[in-house]
Amino acid sequence: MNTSNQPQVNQMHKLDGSQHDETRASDGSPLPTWQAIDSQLSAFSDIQIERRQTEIARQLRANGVAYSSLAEVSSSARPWNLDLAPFVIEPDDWAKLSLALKQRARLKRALFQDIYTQQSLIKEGLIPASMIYAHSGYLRDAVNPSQALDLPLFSTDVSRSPSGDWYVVDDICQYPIGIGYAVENRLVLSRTIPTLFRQARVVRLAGYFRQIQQEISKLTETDDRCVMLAYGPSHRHYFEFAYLAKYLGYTLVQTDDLTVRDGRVYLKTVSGLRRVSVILRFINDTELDPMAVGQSQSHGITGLFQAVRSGGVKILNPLGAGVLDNPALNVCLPELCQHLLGESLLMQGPPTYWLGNPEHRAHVLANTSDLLFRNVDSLGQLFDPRHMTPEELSQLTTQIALTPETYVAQERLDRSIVPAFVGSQLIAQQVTVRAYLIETEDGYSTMPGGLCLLDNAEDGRRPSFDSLLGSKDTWVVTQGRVQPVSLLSQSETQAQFSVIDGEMPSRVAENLFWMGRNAERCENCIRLLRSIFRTMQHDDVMSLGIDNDTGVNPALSAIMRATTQATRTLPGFSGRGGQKRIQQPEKELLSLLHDPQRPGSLPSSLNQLQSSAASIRDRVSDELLQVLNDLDDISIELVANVSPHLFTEDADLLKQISNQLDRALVSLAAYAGLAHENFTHSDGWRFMMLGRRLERINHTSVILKTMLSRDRDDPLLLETLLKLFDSVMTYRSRYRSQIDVALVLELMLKDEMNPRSIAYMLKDIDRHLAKLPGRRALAQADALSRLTISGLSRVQLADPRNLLTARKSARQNLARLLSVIEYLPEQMADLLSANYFSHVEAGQQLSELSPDT
Amino acid sequence: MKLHVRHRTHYAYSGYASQSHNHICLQPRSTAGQQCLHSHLVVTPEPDNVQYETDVFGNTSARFSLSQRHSECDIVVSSLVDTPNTVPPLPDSMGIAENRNALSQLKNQSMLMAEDCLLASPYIPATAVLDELLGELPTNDRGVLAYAQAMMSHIYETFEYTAGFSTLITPLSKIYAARKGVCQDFAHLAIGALRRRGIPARYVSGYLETLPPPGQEKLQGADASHAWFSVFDAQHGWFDFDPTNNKRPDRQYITIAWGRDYADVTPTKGVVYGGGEHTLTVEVDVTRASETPQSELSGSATTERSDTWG
Repeated sequence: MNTSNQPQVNQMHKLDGSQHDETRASDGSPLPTWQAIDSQLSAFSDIQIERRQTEIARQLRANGVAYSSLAEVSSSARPWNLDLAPFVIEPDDWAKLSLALKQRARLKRALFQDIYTQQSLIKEGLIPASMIYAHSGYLRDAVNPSQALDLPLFSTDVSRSPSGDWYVVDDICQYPIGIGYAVENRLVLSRTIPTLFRQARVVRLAGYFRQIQQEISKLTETDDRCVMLAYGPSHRHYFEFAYLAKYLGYTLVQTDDLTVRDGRVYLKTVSGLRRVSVILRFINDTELDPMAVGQSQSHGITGLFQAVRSGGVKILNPLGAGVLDNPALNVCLPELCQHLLGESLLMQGPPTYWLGNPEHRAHVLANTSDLLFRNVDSLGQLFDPRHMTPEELSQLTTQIALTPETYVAQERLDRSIVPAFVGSQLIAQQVTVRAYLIETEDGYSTMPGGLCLLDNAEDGRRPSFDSLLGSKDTWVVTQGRVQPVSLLSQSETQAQFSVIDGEMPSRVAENLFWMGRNAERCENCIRLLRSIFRTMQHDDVMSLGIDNDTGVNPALSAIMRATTQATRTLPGFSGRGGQKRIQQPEKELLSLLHDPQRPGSLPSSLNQLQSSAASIRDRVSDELLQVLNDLDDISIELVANVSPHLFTEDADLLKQISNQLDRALVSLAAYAGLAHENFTHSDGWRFMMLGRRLERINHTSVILKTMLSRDRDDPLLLETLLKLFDSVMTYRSRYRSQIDVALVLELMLKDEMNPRSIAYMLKDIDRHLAKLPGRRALAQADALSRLTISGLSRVQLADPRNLLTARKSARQNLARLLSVIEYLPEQMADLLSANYFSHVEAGQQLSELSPDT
Repeated sequence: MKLHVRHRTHYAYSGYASQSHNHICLQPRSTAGQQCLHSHLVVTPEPDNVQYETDVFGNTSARFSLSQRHSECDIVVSSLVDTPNTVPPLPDSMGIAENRNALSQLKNQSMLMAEDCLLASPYIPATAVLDELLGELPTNDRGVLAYAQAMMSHIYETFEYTAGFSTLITPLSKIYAARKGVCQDFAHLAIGALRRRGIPARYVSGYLETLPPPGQEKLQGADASHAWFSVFDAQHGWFDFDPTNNKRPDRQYITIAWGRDYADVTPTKGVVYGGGEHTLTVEVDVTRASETPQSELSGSATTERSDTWG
């Protein structure tokens, strides 16, 4: 064991001598649980630590936390960083903190009730009117004197001041953002250091989530649904939404998935509209209903506020809860706590000045650089005068002069420190814990743990979520026995395949359809590229004859042209200059291999696959996520390591590229297999299969048309064609003859036993269509079936010999037939979209006429 | 004076709309001086259900959805309103600071609205332009009502009414720079400036009866929706001022609703799904009903109103 590089916890570096040390009691003595953990961690060698850190990273990636598609790499997406050392809260300390948290939740709840009903606190002057009215979270449309309001979910960021007292950093009252990360941290860390976890007697989190489920089920009428409403895949917390929906077992929906009819809320599914009675929302108050005042006009569910008011749907947290986030309220809370609860406030916020108060304003403007400034509508975002240019500062003071009531200033308060691993060293970092509460029949209950966030911001500044150093699992330990809660493992397995028939949102079906199409596109693109490289490497490629037009072998030029047509990367190897590019294909091939910006290239198709998969992460299994991650790796590799050249002579390089393509193909095969096995064969699976089949029909007909519609059947060309469709073996076993173009056509076009033939795929499509919702009892063929049947009968009736007759070396009959088949998929996709995906019409605002025209 | 109002809003779509959600704020409210005797809403095609609700400022609005295929939507609101025959004289009022202090002591519902009407609002953000406008009109120790009246006249005299000059999204800075606009712009400007000075000011949406004159000058904004402003005096309540016509609203003015600005009392708003392009037509007719003595007006009036408006 390497002793010189052991973690030096006891000599750990502090940011500044004054901060509270979370590993020590107030008298400076080390806290027992941390001491035990520390001694065990110290016993690990560097390599052992590194191995566990790698394991953590692997698990996070496998669960999708560190997921990032190529398109996002450049932006803010960064892997979630979970520290190997937990953050420990001792029993006494937790009891005290928990009590203070519950009091705060009760206080905010009482405040909430008053603000949206009688507003007596404002009338009495206990809260200045402008403090409430100037906050964007105050929704006038949610005021209703006769309503009874709850605040079911409450979360708040806390830390410890240098004195060792807990204090509130920020309240987060709309939805418990970050809670998915907290669960994920727990699952990963408890698996990584299971012995330490067991010995430390850590209280389980699962009970809290069961309480959420119970509280929601109390609100739900029988047979009705609870959906989790959240932002879409482009949101940086999307992973969390997908994860949490899966964990809680609710359908994850976006605003476009819901519609309001007659004061009730419905989910648009492929089987029609399904009533929703409870919405667990992870979307801001101000983006929920474009018809309500003060709302974003381009987001939301039209009529939602009205549906909530008339009792057609329950939403939690209730509308308008964002007003409680206002940091200016800190000024009034001590007095309000006495007034509303008859208690003294147990936990203070940071010392806060509200600039709407003239006295506060005078003090603040005289001490600008000692304080941090904040707009009351922003969460956590602080202006630090010490780090602002004179222009920025003057802009801020101008804004404050115009709307002083929307600004607060806060004292700089250092947060406490904990040791966290940087490499194998423990280094002190600042800590903030996000605590989560839920209201039950017995009052508020605190999740035993929380999301522990690490940073090294100085002078009391707070970092944005993106610039955090990392996070820790928060261990609330008990002296007693740990109550085992089995919900964790149970709900994990239950939720794994929670695609319920008939409850598939149209948007999800559409994404599954595209996932099928995109997977097929990737596979086709790889097969084509691989075929080009193999043909280039073919020993006899030069001796087998040269095409007079191009000067290269006809098989090679045909497969190149087919690649251009099938990947829709025109002009490519066709059109003007196509001949020249076939002779010198290097640049074009490099672009198809490496350029993510070019539609139809391999990395671009892989990205398309990732983005259609991204929006249904809550519905795919962990294994499938793993395969998607592998594909993502390959795609990143392709873009990052551009081959320097593609000289046909460099056999090693060509081989290397071929291997890379093989690897991608294996992953895609694994993906196809998992998709086939892991999805219940219900509607969603059918849409995915339809996507695959339609794409393949288009692909096959384009290739056949490009490669066979000229009257020149080079044996290498036919072999290349069969290889491209994996059909060499089938051909041999079927015909036991030299490769003959008529037989090849028979096999690829008409052979209903060959899974690669167009006839087989059309029949398969017909089978899937018959089982789609709303069609199972269809007595007559509708437009969709008619398209399939017409395509199939054309193929069945076609005579290969007739198709192969040529005039001026062009097979016009073949080209004509394949052109019809080629466009079938697009026509069918349009019909599918009209029938199943687009209850999803976009709304437009009606014109308003200003008075006085 | 009894006035009959017929307000027709018509949406015509180039294609078929599959669904639409509408929010209508066109029922005249009863106020201290005005009584809404009757108001009736007819929508074609007929919606399954019309819901009425009262907002935080006491205005009544109607919401309905059409979930059948439709290529047009016709919304007609007919109301009978009794407006006060006389305009009470403007009382002496307190200075601005005194008024604010008195306001915070009221501890009642009107205090809440007045406080809300001291702050910036969606269409009236706090901007430097408002301070410039204030610079043109020193307070000279005037009371809040006298100052509001001066502001009304100042805008009337220094801005030019220009129909079609602005749209809903024209910022106040542009109105101020051009010194042109329509009634809504003038109301918004006055409200914004008064708020910056510390006077609670609200937006009033309504109608104005225009008389086909012999011998009389025709008022601007004839038979259309109209808008003006109102300020709060902590002793005497709200007083209305019309900067477009430089007059304190009289019996020819019908109040529909009030709020912080246009956003709170938008007459018709909605979202439609499908339908392609749409065109909006609005017709307003204000006509005098037969004169009835003031004494006969009270009593059964409210009953009739609640029958028709749910």
